[in-house]
This record gives sequence, C-alpha cells and structure tokens, in this order.
Amino acid sequence: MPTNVIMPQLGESVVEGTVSRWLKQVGDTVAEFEPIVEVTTDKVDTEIPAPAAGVVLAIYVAEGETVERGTLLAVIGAAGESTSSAPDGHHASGNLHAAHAPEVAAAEVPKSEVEGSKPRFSPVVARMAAEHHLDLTKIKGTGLGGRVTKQDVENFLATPVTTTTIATTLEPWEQPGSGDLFKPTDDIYAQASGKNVKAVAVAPAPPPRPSTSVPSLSSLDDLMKHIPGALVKHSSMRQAIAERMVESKLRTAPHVTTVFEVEMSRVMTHWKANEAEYQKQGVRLTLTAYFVLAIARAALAHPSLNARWLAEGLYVPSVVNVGMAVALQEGLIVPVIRNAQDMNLLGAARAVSDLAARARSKALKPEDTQHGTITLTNHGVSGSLFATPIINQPQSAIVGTGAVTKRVIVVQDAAGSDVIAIRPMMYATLTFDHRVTDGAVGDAFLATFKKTLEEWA
Amino acid sequence: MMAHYAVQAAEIVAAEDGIQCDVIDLRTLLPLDKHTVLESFKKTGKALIVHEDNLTMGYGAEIAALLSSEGFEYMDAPITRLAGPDVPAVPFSHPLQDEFMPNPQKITAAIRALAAY
Repeated sequence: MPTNVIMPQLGESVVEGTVSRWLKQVGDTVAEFEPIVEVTTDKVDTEIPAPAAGVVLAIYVAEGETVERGTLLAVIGAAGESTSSAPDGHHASGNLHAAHAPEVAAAEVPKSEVEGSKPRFSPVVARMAAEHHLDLTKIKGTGLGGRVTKQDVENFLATPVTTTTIATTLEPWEQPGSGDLFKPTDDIYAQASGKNVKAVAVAPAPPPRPSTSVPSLSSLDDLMKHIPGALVKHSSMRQAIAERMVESKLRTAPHVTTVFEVEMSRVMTHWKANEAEYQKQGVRLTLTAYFVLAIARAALAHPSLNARWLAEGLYVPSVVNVGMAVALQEGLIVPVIRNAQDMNLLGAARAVSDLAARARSKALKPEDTQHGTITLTNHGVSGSLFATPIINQPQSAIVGTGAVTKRVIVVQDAAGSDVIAIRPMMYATLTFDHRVTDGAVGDAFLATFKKTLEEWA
Repeated sequence: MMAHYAVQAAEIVAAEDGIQCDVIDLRTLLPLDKHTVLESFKKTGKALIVHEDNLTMGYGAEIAALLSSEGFEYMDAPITRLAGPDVPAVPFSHPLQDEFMPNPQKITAAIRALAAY
C-alpha cells in the first residue's frame, strides 16, 4: 500500500512551500520519520520526515518548484509496487518534466514520446522553463535551426497573454492529499493534546492574491521607457508580507493608534547596571526584554487587547504570547515569546536573544512563529521616534516603541516647584483593532505599559 | 593586446549588429576573478574566450571548465574559444603572425556566430 508524501502546512498563514532539496531519490530506501525532503517557505526552512518506511517510488515535484500545501510530493511503498495514485493522465507533460526531473521521466515517459524528434534545450532554457512552468514546445525558436534561446524564453515571458502554465487541469500531484499532514496544524495539536476541540471541517481556502494594482509586464515596458529602472521580482516572503498587510489594514481591522511618552530613567539605569551581569550568564540584555514584560503586564490588566476577534465572539487567551518583529535583510519575521506573563527579566532576555538570533540565521521552527496574541515592534532601534504599525492578524493590537532619546522635560523638584530636567524619553504607541475595543481601553493599556517601565525596580 | 582587440570587436558588433557584449580583461589568472566571469555569464548565457596562445592546453580551457562546472545552469550556447592554431607559437613572418593571432575581425566573426546560435 503506497503512502503519499504531502506538502504539509508549515505555519498559520503558510499556504505554499518550495522544495529546496530531495534528500532521497527514486529507489532509495527510507525509514519512517527519516528526513526525505527539505522545504522552504516564506517563514521557515525545514525537513519533512517520511510518513512511512519503504522505498521512494516516485517524486512528483522537482527541486526549486513551489507548490501549495497538500500537494502530493512523492510516493513511498514497497519495492516494485506501482504508484496507484499516479494515473496515466500526467504523462502528457512528460516532456517538460524530463527537463528537470530526469529520474521521474526515465521511468515514466512512454516510449512513443521519446522516439519522436525531441527538441533539445540548453541548460538555461530548461531551467527557466522549469521555473515558470512553461511548455517549451509552444515557444517559437529563433536560434540556429529553430533552437529556443534564452532570449526567446524571455520574450515569451514578457508577452503577457501567452504565459500559459501547464496546470490548467489538476494534475495528480496537485490534488489535495489526505491525512494528518494536510490538516491545519491547530487541529493536529488540539487532537494530540487530547482536547478534542471540534476541528474545522474544511481547511481554510488559501487567501486570494491581492488584486491591488500590480503592473503587468506589458505596462512595465512602457514604464521603463519613461522611467529608467529595473524590476526586482518579489520574494515569497515579500509576497506574504504584502498579502498580510493588505489583508490586515484594508480588509480586516479598522486601525487606530494612540501615543504615550515614557520616561525611561529607571529602565536605562537598571539596564546599564545589569547588562554586564547578564552577559556573564551568556544572555544579551536589551530594552526589548523590558518591553515584553511591560506588555505582558498591560495585557493581563487589559485582556481585550490580547484577544482575537472571531465571528462567534471575542476569544480571550489566559496567556500572553508576545510576537517580536525582527527585521531581516529580505523582509521581516515575527517569532513568538510564549507565556511572557510568567517570565522574569532574565527569562525574557534569554527568549528575546534566542529567537532574534534564530530568526536572523533562519533557524526558526514553524511553531516559533505561531500562536502569538499581541505583537511588539521595537522600531526605535533604527532611530524612528514613533510609528503606526499594522496589526499582525489575527491579533488585536501591536505595540510600537520608539528611540530612547534625551529630551528636556518639566519635572517637580523636592520642594514641589517646576524645574527643567534632562531625561531619556521614549514614545510608545499602541495600534489596535477598533472592532475589539475603544480608545479609553487602549489608553489604559498603554498607561499600564508606561507605568511599568517608569516605575521599574 | 587581446583585451584591446576584444573591445574593438565588441564596439563593431554593437554598432553593426546591435549585439551587446561584456568584455572582461582577466588581469590575473591566479587568483582568477571567478565572480565577475560568472556574473557576466549568468547575464548573457554565452561566452567567447579569446587568448593569444595555442588553443590546446591554453588558459582558455580553464575558464571554459569553470563556466561549465559552476555556470552550467546559465549556459545558452556552447562555450567557445578563439586562440591560435596548434602550431609552434608565434611565427616570425608577419603574414603568418596575422594568421596565428586572433584579431578584431576574427573575434567579430566568432561573436556573430555565437550570438546567432
């Protein structure tokens, strides 16, 4: 009985993954849970374990291809067994697959197709065809003897209407799979922990691509005539960020932002006094750790900002999982500090430095970015004073902390008269979903946040 | 010498055929500026290697090997070499020298053949 290897869902909002490397080839023996393939998503890079022991009978997705979750990647079974789930229908495009998956092609392309005068393609053309899912036989070659050149492929891609992908009908490896791997991770976790939460009957449909004004390639030519420049292709991380931002700000949550000014003397003093001490314990203490704790305290006091808006009602978690926006060269990622309400400063500092380091080295696991309840963006590290960030759905609020700068403020001296003093000051912002709560609660949350920091001991 | 010829040839094909070339003058052979060579190859997919020596066992073969091993996925035409024939180099007679040495005309012809592939 062959077992299907399915592209799993690797995160809350991850709907597709790219096969980066096959660790096993067709004919290799695998043990159960042995890593069989490496998959890259916009959030994490991970290895997928074999769901069963046996021999790899077929591989349907070549390295470098991006497919939706639930896609059939490979089939494992007993040696010599037939891959029952791969009907003959998919041989029709064997020609293209031969270009980048010779091991599959050799075994499966019918003889009649090989016998014909099969055109040959240069490596670059084959690679581009694989990347863009092109049928090269449909491209008119202008090279020597009608050869399809790289230029021909580029021209073909630049012609908007004719960029046909092969997959107009669902091929077998594109049909949704079944089994645990295919279910949303939340359902699996709920079942595993014995809570028997009523599973959502249907996996949520992938969110539609934003139809916002993305210029087509034909208008690009026109654009380049008037404004010289170059086109930088969207990375999958960029694409995901774009979708989530549009989804959050324009389709889901009415955003509103409130700004407080925080006097940071006590935190700065505490930080300077303890930084070296923490360093000795191998932990890098940063202001972020203080903010995480202050958010946890404020969120416990004002739980609606730590909640999620559901159609049935407001889901109020009893824990505070603080997402921490980490800037990367190619975008940003939000690893989650779990149970921040139970942490002391050392624990928070340890979690912050561990997650930030793993985010930058791309070593985050899928669960590291899931189940946040509120987000912190410490944009002050890049000098920004205050900002109006966008809420990380499905959460209800995001706290922004600006740069700590020395400013002149009016304070009261011991005798009670006003004097001018120089203090380290910081703007803190709370951007929240106005569906969930109103300005007064948002202000109260931020007041608790401010009080925690100003009275730090 | 070859660098100058190559630039002249590149100017000729740019003006007459509209073929755009990168001309890379490899100032050192070891270390070899692999980065520049490979980046250019990724862009063009085609390479013509010109050197002023016998074809066989010439340094151009090293570059050809580099391109095929590290730039294979970007290759859009056979990597082509242009060098002197396999005779003792270099003849003293001026007409024979002309025959032996690559020159702008030979390079231009090779570029055109490569571009048409």
